[in-house]
Amino acid sequence: MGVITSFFKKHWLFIVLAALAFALLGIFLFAQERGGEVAPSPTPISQSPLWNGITPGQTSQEEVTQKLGQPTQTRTENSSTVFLYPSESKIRNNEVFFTGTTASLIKEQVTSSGVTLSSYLDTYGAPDALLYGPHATAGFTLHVFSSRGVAALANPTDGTVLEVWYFTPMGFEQFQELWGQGFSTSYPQKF
Amino acid sequence: MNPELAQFLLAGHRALRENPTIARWPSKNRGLTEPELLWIITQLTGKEVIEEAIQLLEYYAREQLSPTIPSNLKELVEELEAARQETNEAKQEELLHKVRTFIVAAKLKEQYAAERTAQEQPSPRIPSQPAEQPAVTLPPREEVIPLVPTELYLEISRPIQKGITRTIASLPAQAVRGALSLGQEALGRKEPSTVNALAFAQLGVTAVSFQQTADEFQRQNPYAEKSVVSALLAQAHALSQFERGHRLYMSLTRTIHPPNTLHLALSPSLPQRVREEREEKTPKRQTLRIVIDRVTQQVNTVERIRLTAAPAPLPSLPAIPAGVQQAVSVRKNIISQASIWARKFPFYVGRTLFPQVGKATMQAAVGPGQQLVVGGLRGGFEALGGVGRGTFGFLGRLAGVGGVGGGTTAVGGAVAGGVGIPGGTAVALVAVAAILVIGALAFFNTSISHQGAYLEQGGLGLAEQNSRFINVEKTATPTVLSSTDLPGEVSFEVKVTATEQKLTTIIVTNQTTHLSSGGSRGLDVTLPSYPKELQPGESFTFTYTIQVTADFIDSILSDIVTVTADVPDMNITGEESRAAASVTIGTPSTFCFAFDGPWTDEERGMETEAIFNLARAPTFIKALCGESNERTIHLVRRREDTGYGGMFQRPSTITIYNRGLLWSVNATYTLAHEGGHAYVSRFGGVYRQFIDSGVAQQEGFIKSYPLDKSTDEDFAEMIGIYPVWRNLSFRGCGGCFITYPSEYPLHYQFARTNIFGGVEY
Repeated sequence: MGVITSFFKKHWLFIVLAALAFALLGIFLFAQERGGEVAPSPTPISQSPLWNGITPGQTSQEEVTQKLGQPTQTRTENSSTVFLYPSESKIRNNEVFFTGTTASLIKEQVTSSGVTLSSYLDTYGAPDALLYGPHATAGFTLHVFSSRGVAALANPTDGTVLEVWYFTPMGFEQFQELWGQGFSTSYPQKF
Repeated sequence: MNPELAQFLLAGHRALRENPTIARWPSKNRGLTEPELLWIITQLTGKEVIEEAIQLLEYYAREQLSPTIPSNLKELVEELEAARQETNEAKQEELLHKVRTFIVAAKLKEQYAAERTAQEQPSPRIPSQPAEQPAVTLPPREEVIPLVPTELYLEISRPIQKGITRTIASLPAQAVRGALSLGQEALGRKEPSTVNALAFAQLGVTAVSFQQTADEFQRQNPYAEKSVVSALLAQAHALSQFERGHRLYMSLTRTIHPPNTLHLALSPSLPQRVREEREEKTPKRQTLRIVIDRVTQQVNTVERIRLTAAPAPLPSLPAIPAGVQQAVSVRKNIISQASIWARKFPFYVGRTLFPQVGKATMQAAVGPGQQLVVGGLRGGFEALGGVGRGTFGFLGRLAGVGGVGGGTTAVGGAVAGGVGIPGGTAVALVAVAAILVIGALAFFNTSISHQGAYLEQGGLGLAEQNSRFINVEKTATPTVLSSTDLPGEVSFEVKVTATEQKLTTIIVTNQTTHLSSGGSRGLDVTLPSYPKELQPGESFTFTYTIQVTADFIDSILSDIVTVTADVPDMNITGEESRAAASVTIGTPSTFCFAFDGPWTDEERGMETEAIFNLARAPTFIKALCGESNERTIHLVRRREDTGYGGMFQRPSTITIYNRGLLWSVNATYTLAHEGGHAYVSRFGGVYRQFIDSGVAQQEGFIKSYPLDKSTDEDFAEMIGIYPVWRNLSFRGCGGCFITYPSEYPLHYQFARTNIFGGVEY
């Protein structure tokens, strides 16, 4: 007993620091895990949003595979390499787009009814623009918060969110040019 | 399609039907699944309805519609040389004639190319000049009937922005005579039916009948497929029947490269459609305007094609020989569909193409399977290459032209090559199928996309409801009853006519329904007696009356009569036609639907009936309207002949076009589909659930919707067909009926559980 007491007395500073380090590590891991679930990122203006430790415009392909593992599929879309990762949906995959070797766009598939459009509107205010694309006639509009680097494909009537996009903050025109293919500012006619 | 291939497909179909356990075999032993085989059958036959496809296969298998292609050119030449050595003059003459037909085709190719060059800047309003006669003169004809209205032209537009289209080609149809194939390189692609069509066009037809003309054509062009010739004649003649205001079915095969090249074939049902539309007295316009909406498979964009023509005389439509309508462009379908198939299912080609389908019945024929398949393919390719070289080389020597007779000859030779391999028929069949696929890819540079194009007289997805052999007319008197008219009576008059053929075993049934906001109930109505047989052209009429009491107030009385009969001379049983009529009594509730625009009483009654049909599922109607009908949905009537029945506009407007009001069940379908759009715009969570359930991934999009193949349209169609699937066939799938619970069980269950609250129709 005396040996133990003596040990703690001798190394109390080291032990406290180690405990603190473990606590910080736990908090960090917990926060990172929650980061994938909580859709609106509290990222300040002009900073890229963070998704599962990936920052569009900064995180490299190698870092992505370190954080998320190997993709289940890859494809090429408009000269971007796209890594596909499983999501909560059995049908839809999360997608990480790379420009060169840097992650540039993340499309997170949302399945939780706890994530609603209002949470984004509360966080970011009115969207910079609305775009209509796939699922438009099902009421889903891409709410683009381009200056925040976030867009939400959501139904404004009941607030259902289908996808959340994370990208480097930019002007709307640039967003439309870069990531808005297949979307239009006008509502499509459906028969 | 040759008889062996048809027999093989039929055997596979039978095997799958007779051995349900095949579906549970390990995949490596199972070969194609039943849906896959059915898909192939429908694609190869061009028939969406499997029963029709099977019937067509049986025709082919019995050689009733099979090609009558004799030898290929190489063989002809060899025979000719042998005949010369034998100094057999009669045989020489026969063979020379056959060989000469190839030369004619070659000259036609040159002429066609020259015409195309002269038409680099075509003016749609200027009739094209008659083509020069071919170098090899065909027997003269006393009278020449132009097959195509001279001012007919085809305008192809590509949308460059919503509402704005850019014309990419405008081609006088007469430039290709029968307008059966349009394209700069149609002949250059060596498509046999195109060659036949152009050769046929040079004949100057004095068409006593299609069959006689086809016989004559085939006499002069022995290599031609009789079925194709007959079909082309029917098409060409039908094309000459154009009248202002007519709308047509067309199936379109367009080559992507070069971008303004296309092939056009009128659908098998065109003559029938023309006749129907003449009878229905569609609105006359100054010009014929046909609009095709289509979705390209490769780029998923909607393109529009307008076919415009000046008024053309309307001669009587001669009887169409049996089978002709089923035989249109079969070969073209095979080639183009095969190319699609090859792209879509490349892994089937060579390796798993029917490896053990119908194992129980086909094993002996297939033998060891894949090794022989490979052998068959190799044999086929060798034959293909050899024949191709022989053909072109010979033609080059003989006539100074090349590249003629390709498709038929090459494939025919390839078939011969395949047949020669031990293992017999099955191997040859695999070779044929594979060579069709690969040959098509070679001919078309893998760049063909095939689209079904819809030129409809009414609305989207409307069925070919009626048999062409049975015409049913039905009228209700009166169509509107006010509350002061009660009690009263409504009479329904039904007239049944045998249009073309003798009808036997005639059975008339009716379904009378009283619909109100409180629900619906069937009424028992006893029909009067009626004849059981009708001779061609004969009719019978009967009337029955329904007493309408005071408790019918504010409701709809709907009556649908169905006539089934056999057509013994055509060996057809169970032909069916329907007609419907409805009566509006008082002022029935329309829930949250508000009628805007020029609705007639009859139209309003029909639409109200549709609303009541939807209201049989309170969950659905409340989702649309709210608990107290507080969410108004505007029903706007627009009297336009569009290619679709309705359109949904946010937030809550449904526009109903003419095609959405053809009859009550069609009206219900249209309202349910557009209501599906309205529903999902309010219930995004259900839509997300639909996506994540994988329904569409597992079953594919529902085939009845022909336009935009997308998840949101599939969702609307899932709702659209739910209330009507028992009574409506759908043009989007070629007039097919959909047995919803078994064909699309996941869609059906999702709709039943999540949309319609468990209510079944």
